[in-house]
Amino acid sequence: MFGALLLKECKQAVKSLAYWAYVICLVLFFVSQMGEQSWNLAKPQPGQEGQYGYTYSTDETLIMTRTVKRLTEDYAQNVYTAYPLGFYKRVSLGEKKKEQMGEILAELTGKSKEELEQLGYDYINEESAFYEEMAQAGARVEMAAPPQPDVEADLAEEVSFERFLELTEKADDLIGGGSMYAPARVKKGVQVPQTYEGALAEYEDIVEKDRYSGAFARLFCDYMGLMMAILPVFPAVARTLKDKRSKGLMTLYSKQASSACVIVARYLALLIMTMVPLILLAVFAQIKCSIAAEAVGISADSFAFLKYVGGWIFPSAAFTVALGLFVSELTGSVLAVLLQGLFWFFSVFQSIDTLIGNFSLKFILRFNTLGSRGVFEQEFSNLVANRLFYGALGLAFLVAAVFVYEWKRKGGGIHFGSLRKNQQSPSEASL
Amino acid sequence: MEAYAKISKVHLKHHFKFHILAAVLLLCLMPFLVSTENLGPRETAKTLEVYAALLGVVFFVPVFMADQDKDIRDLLRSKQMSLTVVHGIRVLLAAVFLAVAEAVCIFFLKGCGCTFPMWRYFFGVLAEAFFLGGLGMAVYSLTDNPAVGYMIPLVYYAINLGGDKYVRNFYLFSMAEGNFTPKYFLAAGGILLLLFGVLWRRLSS
Amino acid sequence: MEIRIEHLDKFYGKKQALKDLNLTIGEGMYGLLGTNGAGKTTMMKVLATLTKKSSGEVSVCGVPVEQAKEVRSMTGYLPQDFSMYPGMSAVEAMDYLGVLSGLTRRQRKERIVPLLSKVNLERDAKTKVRAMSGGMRRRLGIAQALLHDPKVLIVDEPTAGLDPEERVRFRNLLCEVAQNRIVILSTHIVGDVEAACEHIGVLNQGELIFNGTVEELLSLAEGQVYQAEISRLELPKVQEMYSVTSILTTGGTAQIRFISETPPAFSAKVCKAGVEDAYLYLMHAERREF
Repeated sequence: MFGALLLKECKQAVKSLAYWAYVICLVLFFVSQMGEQSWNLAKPQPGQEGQYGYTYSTDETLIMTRTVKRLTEDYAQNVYTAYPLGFYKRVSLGEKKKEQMGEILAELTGKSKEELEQLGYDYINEESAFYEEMAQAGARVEMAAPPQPDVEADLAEEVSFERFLELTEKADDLIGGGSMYAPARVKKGVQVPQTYEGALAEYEDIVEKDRYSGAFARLFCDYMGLMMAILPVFPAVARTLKDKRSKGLMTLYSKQASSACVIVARYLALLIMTMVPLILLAVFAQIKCSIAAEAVGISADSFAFLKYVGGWIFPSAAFTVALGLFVSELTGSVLAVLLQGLFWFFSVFQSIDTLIGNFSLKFILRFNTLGSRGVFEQEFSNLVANRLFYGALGLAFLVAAVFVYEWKRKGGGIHFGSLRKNQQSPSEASL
Repeated sequence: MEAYAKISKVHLKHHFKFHILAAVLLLCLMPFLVSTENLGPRETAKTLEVYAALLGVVFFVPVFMADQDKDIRDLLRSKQMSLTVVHGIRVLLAAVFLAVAEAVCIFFLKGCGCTFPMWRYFFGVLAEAFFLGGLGMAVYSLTDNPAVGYMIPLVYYAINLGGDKYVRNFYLFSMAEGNFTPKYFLAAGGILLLLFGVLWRRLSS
Repeated sequence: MEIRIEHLDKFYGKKQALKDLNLTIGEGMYGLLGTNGAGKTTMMKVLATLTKKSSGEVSVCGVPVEQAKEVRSMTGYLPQDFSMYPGMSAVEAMDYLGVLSGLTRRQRKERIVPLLSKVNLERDAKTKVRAMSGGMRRRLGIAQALLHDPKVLIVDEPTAGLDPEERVRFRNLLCEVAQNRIVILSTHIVGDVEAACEHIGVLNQGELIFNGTVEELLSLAEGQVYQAEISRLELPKVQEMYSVTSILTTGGTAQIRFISETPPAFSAKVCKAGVEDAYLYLMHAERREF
């Protein structure tokens, strides 16, 4: 019975408008984000300094000097920037907190408050003078690296990196979290221009460890994961509402099939059908990628996209479909769209400040770069834990949906906020 | 006049109140989800464009939901007053509530110490909200499917997160980048989409 | 006061739902009979301006159906599955629909309560639509259709799904309402028409195969309805040869009624035709032509 039901549910999905709207949206998004993606990867050539892009340096002295410089500037102006949820927040500290911040900086630099303020303005003036000069010379400002004053000379000698981290964490707490001084941010390192050696190592990582297609697969998951965290909720909601619209609920309820059988078949069918177009897109990208790799004599990993999609995006879809089924079954309304929409919005902007890695328990995992295999390897265990977490959560929602269905089948339901238990209104009895 | 008031009242009492509730919830969550304090003009624009404009979807898309049931729709259509008039009243009602909600956002941001041109931003965010809402309503009208009606504006929004490459003058987040021109396009497009939605609903049945 | 239908055609895509319909309906109850899918609902929807005709002329009390607004002000329509917003009470639903029918506040105030008591819902005025039984809902449907005192009342399958008692009550209600009005009711239950209507139309696959009074319909089958007592073993054979309209088995024998244009081979008595017999005769004759 289950197999036949599953097949029927899949057919239902194919015949539904919401499903095709879903497919179109998915393809549209793929084209808009990756349509012009170049699948070629050029081997870096020596002697092109300044054109290898940027990378993050975790050199402790460099981190300390840059961070202290920035903190001194912010302190002098008493304006701090924070992104608690990916949104810009401007923080000005009150007297008491400003005092505490001064103490932190004093320990870091060994300077008095007056000296610090003076130093901060010096940095700022120096920087703006540099940009003015660049602008007058007609250079593209964003390409120029601002001067790095000799901050090292301004650092207190006895401060260790560990102590530095403690102090910046305190500074972050004073600002209210989510600032440039948060430990995760600081430890990530500072942006420096990539060297030829660095660029070459990156390239070799992609060729050897990622076997070319892995790096592209991560980028694919980064973009498509955004959509798969919201779109599957629509066919799921539409499927549940279809029952209600057909006015055939009582007929369906009266059949022999167990609630678990009905809901799980529906769930799996929706999950399969929402994954199919994504897998097709992945296969399409894989082929493009393999051809490009072949052209430069590299044999690409033919299953990279499928592996990444399976481990990375599948749990997103599994969670989203389950939530959609559960909420729409519970409320008989499009409320699930609102809830998942809110969660999606929150997740999108939660990960927008670190578009590469830093997964923790974020629902939408961003890895908006080609390469950076090293970062990914570091984050891999986080990724696994994260995906298992959402997979399990999805499973929990699925079980809850089964219980809700069973409950409604026995006459329960929610009407305008009031719970109704095992009592059937005469109107439904006569349907 | 009394009839129009009655139609509005019934719509509010039996349908619209849930969507207003959802909008109030979204408004209450605003300070927790996006930044609202001491923002400059660009940052304020970002908050309005990225968050507040989504209220348009909440208000406009469900205009036809009240007569989603085919039998009820037939019954209402058999009455002397054209169902299009009823839909028109509901759209106006949604527009009024949307304007009030966006005004609340504007005043709230002002109260939080943000600096920005109030009227200009009010128009800007309304234009975007009209467009997103109109898009959803038009799609709902075309497909007779509320889920699809919500999906399309959301995907449009997501595509805009990636920049204005494909949408050009219909770019949603232009104000945050200092460009106001797309707002006129969005306003005009939004109104046309709303009109189209109502008219298509009339023609399709 | 009459409804005129001339050469009415209606297509849904390629499928023709109504074929060259010609019909004039006057005051009183008019019953539209036909199997499911015969085109009854389509015809009623054309009259209620809910669906556009493909070709032909249709006018209600002299007003062509193209002038939807005017026609709607004269017609009351009760769809097959009447339902209203489930959260509304009977009074609220009436009030709202009254507004849509263009009634003033005073008119609504004056009419709603008497109408609800006329359909026996005065005690359920505050009951929500959601909590109403099928019969109650149907009665509310009639009340709302009468709210603006229409000249024409169109009711689609009003008795389907009602219990026998409710059905009789509903029929009587319709008869009462039909004073000085045109009431068109569609049904596939012959008994409804027999009890209430003077004029009958029979639709079959989009064509009007009969239009006339009940007597005329009966006279069609006159002398062709037989009654016989046969052995149960013979039953399958007889059913194959004739259109059997009723069977009553007792022990080894079966009392049957059947239709035959020529006297049957076995002994049988001619008997008086009922509306049901006549209807079945008509359908039977129609089927044989194809």
